[in-house]
Amino acid sequence: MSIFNIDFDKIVVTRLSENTIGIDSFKNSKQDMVTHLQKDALRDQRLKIGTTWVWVYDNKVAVGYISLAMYSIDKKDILSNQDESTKKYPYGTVPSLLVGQLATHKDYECNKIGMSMISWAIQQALEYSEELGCRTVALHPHEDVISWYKDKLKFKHIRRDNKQDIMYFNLLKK
Amino acid sequence: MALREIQPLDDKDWNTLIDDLEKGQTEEQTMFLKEALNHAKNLKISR
Repeated sequence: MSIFNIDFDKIVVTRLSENTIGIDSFKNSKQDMVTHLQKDALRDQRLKIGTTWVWVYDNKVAVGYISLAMYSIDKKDILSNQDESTKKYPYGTVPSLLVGQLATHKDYECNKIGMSMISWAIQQALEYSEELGCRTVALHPHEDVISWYKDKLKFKHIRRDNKQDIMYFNLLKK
Repeated sequence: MALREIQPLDDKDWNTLIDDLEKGQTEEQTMFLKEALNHAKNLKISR
């Protein structure tokens, strides 16, 4: 039985453009998520610092979007030969795919659209990792979505005092 | 989340990350991944 419970045959994943359907009517309880889609995302795309993909439902409504960028999880201090961690991992940086933004249309929540978007991002990251290094899908979560990423999407969580938390999905099977 | 807010990991958090990466996916992550990839491969993409 699938964990996805709506008809995704009516979804088309579309690279954001000025003509993408439903951008102006996108609604979310967090205004910065709406602003990002309607104002910042195209700019980021032009600057090649973030690419946004929109889940368009039935050729009418933008029901969700995800913004992706290359990223690395970095160690704060320069890695030295004395570091114990070098026995397990040779560098001070972990190449990753960043989920910069992710939001679902307010009227279409609880339809596993977020899960669909993360699933696709993981698939993309696995494909990229065949061409260039990419070990995790990573993000910096808002507090209210941490349990969703953790429980539903099996992301790991590093909580940090007074700094942005990091969540990640390890792309490597044992 | 804005890129400017991202900060590197101190030793403790870095070691936590590396220890975990070394273990590879948990069983439940692998199960989720299988379901996720099954879903993703059926999505229609317009580039």
